[in-house]
Amino acid sequence: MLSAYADISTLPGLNADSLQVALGLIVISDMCLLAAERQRLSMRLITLQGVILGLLPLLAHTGDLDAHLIGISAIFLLIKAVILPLVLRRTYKKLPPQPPDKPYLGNTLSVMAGLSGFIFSLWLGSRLGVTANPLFSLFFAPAFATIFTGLLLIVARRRALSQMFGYLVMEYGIYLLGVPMAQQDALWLELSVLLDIMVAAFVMGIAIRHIHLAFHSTDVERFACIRD
Amino acid sequence: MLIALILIPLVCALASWFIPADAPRRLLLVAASAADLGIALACWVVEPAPALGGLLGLDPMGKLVLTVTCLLFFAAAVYGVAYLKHEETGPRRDFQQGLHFSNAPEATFTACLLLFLSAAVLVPSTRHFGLLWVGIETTTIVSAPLIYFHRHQRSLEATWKYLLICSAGIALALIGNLLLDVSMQTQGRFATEITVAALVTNASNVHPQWFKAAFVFLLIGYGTKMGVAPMHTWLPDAHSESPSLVSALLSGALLNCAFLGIFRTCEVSQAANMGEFTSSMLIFFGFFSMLTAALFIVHLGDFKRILAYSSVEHMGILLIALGVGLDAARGGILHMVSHSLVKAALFLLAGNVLAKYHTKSNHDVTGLLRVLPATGFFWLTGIIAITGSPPFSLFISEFSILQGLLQRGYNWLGFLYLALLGVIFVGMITPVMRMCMGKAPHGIEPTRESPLLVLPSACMILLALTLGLIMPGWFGQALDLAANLGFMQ
Repeated sequence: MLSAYADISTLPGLNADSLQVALGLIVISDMCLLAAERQRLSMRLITLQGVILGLLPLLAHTGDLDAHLIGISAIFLLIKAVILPLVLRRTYKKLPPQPPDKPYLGNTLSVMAGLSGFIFSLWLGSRLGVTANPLFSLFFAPAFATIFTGLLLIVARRRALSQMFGYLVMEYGIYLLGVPMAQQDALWLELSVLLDIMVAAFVMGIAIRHIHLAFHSTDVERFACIRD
Repeated sequence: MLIALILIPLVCALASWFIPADAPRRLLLVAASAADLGIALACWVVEPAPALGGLLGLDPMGKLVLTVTCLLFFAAAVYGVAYLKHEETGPRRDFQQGLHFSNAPEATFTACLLLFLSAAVLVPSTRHFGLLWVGIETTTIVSAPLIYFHRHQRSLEATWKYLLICSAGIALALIGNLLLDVSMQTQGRFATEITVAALVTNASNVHPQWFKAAFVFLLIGYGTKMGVAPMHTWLPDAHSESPSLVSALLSGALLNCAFLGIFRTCEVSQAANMGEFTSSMLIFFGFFSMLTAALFIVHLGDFKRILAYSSVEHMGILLIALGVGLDAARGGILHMVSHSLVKAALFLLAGNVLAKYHTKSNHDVTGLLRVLPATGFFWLTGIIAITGSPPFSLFISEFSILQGLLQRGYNWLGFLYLALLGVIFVGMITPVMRMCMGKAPHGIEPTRESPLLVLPSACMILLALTLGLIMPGWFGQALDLAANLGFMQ
């Protein structure tokens, strides 16, 4: 299965070990997120993912580092590791203490589903064929596993804030998929996407506060006003 | 020209936050949408130059979608002047749940409407997949506060569903964009940017597996935003709980933007000889949407939800047309234009009915033709039009799509298409006839209607009627030019 992946050791100037450790940490944090019931722990894990993702453009870079790349990476790091966690923290602080948010599937099944998602991503990457960009093949499975984790958090959690975590994790997975594709002249696009996601998170944060005021809870199971 | 199209509403949106009085702010809304409509119409006379290094540029399909979008915004803005004037301020009782609620500040509402316009005109003005995604995602973010204008529990529930489902859906479309880029670099980097032109030029180098994966993600992603079943669950809630002018814009303008995302992908698939694969998926999701809409419409008791499910049906018809290909091409594009006009008109009229009767139940609304004669007349006419009855343009488009199905040899699908249209016709006409005829309920007296609340809808329905009776040569040519871009040979 893994033979379908291109050899990244052929890329000059690439710090392959650090990159693999970073990707491994992302996958581990995905599983921890699926098992986490306390929202404070989930926020810390998302912050950790944000820091790793912010550093990835530098780790995945081949050749000499230039000021432009460092500048752009600093902006990405600022948004992912500082601003987005702050938006989450601000929303969390505005809500009263919440009991643990147990997944519908239960913790064990959630992690098993996450692991299955990772194995499926490895299989899918090998089925779709090798691309000209060896880094993409390396990033594919961790990225898809993270996207799958995000989707699981959205559909298998009861609280609106946990669903927002899921949305952010899913976006982090997509960002991970895009890192090997990033081109210097298209970084404006990545920045626009990131700003859009930041505003979306901000709007979701406001919506969650309104949900709490209107329903006296952020439990989405209370959403039963609209019926066909 | 194209930059002005985006910047005018953007600047006006920022300005509207700083205007303390309501009347000048409403005028600004009308002025900005009129300016954009003027520019969109001017694009038919003077070909706009590409801007921002080719990132912005209009093709025949973009021009059509842009014009329809600007026209709907102008109609909604005119309606909005009277609508906002009649809206009560301060806390009041919700007629459905009996709880008290108040409106969001009007300045925020107007600003978000203008931001929505700015994002919605960006979508047809670009042929860059990334920028198109940014435009569509921005429409989601700025339209969420519009749905939550009436700050009660139901609108909040609808807003959350809309935000979460559409954002997750659009995120899937972003994956599609990335995979589209990957499909072009299997042996080297063939297309250096993900514009339609670059991808079409290099379509012979596309990797089929990666392209198929990209198409699936793009179809599900933009299909979610378009309200295609089974990803449509946000649509009936958001459309029924929004203020009427917002429902009109969501249904008439926003769904077209998402359709454009799928249309652009089909342009590439056609060039890459992947038409067979994409066609079967489009037809499947198209019929599934029609079937879902038919099943819900026949038993619904809420007239705004009936209109919302009708949008699901029409988005299904659009996908079927795209899947059938050139045989249904002109019909497909005409259907997109006609549906936008008539559905936006119907949602605006539904707002008048709701304001008078204080109910969304079609069982509690009777004697509409006596109580609100103009609204009632155009409501009935609009429903006849939206169900594809002659002589409206929707009849021409639906008939043309049926012809396309039969010409392709899909006889059974043609039969199913007709059967579903028949069920939906009965499901929509029956409650509407009951609403229009009979005596008014006790305590509901006939009133004089504000022309601003009826004229925008009347004009759009008459336009749909005109297009059904006389198809100007230049317009038919514009439809063909647009259709030739994305419809399979």
